[in-house]
Amino acid sequence: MPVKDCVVALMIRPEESTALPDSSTDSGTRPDPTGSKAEDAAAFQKYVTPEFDLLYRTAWSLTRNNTDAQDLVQDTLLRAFRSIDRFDGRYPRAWLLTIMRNANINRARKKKPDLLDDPDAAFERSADFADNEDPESLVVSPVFDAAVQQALDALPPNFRQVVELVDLNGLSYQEAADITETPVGTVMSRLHRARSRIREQLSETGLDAEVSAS
Amino acid sequence: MMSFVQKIMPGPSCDEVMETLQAYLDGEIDDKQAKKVARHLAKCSQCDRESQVYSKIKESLAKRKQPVDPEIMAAIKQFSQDLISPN
Ligand SMILES: [Zn+2]
Repeated sequence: MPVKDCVVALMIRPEESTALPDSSTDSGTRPDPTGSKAEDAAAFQKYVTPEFDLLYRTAWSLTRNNTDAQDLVQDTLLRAFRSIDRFDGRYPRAWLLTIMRNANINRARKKKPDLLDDPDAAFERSADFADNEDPESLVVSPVFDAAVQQALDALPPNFRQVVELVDLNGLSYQEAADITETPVGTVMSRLHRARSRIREQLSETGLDAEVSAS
Repeated sequence: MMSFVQKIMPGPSCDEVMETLQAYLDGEIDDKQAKKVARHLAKCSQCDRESQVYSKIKESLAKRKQPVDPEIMAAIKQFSQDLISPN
């Protein structure tokens, strides 16, 4: 049909494509596209520096100790700085978390896997959370926060980790899934089970009743 | 077995609401679904109570966010400074 051909021809007019800005003159929201050291530093300050806190918290959730967390953050910062000239300025958090995930994979490869002690697998297997709970070990706290804290500490590592990433650090399900290399569905089920576990502990201590009373 | 609330109220069942409650509280479901859950919670005291308990747990967990050790943060800042402006 002639009319349609005409429209298509208008859409792909060659002079339009050549009129597009050359990629060497502007690369989007980056403060400067020249890639000079000073501009890399400026981009680093703009996109990376505001995320230090999140990066450290996330690293801590992944490593569970200060030294490893700091190492992981620094490794991430180094990688980020090296590739910042290729970063387009969009979604700095997602970009940084991806770098951290890769840095963490590298780091984990250097360490020996601990196959004998897998509390997460045991937690997944347990039919009922309350089954292996020793009533003596459950210290009844009058303070809601303390009870939540205690329940959080009692969670198996992978479950506690997802709670930390989402509830403490404010990551989305997708971000938590990416950083831990698990499917989103697994993140959701772990989060759900972890919170259910915390909620169960609260009802055992009668603290959940406080909520609806307040 | 259907609860009284389900019989008189169209929309998601209590079980369905409980299944999406976590994602609802985390803001991870779309607006249309969220509205359905919210409407259910407004009318079903049983689910609303669960929602409140989990909200309180989330709130309490968020409070657990401790400030990062200032010494570590200072070291990270120094590391970055050395990275971006080496002498
Ligand atoms: Zn209900």
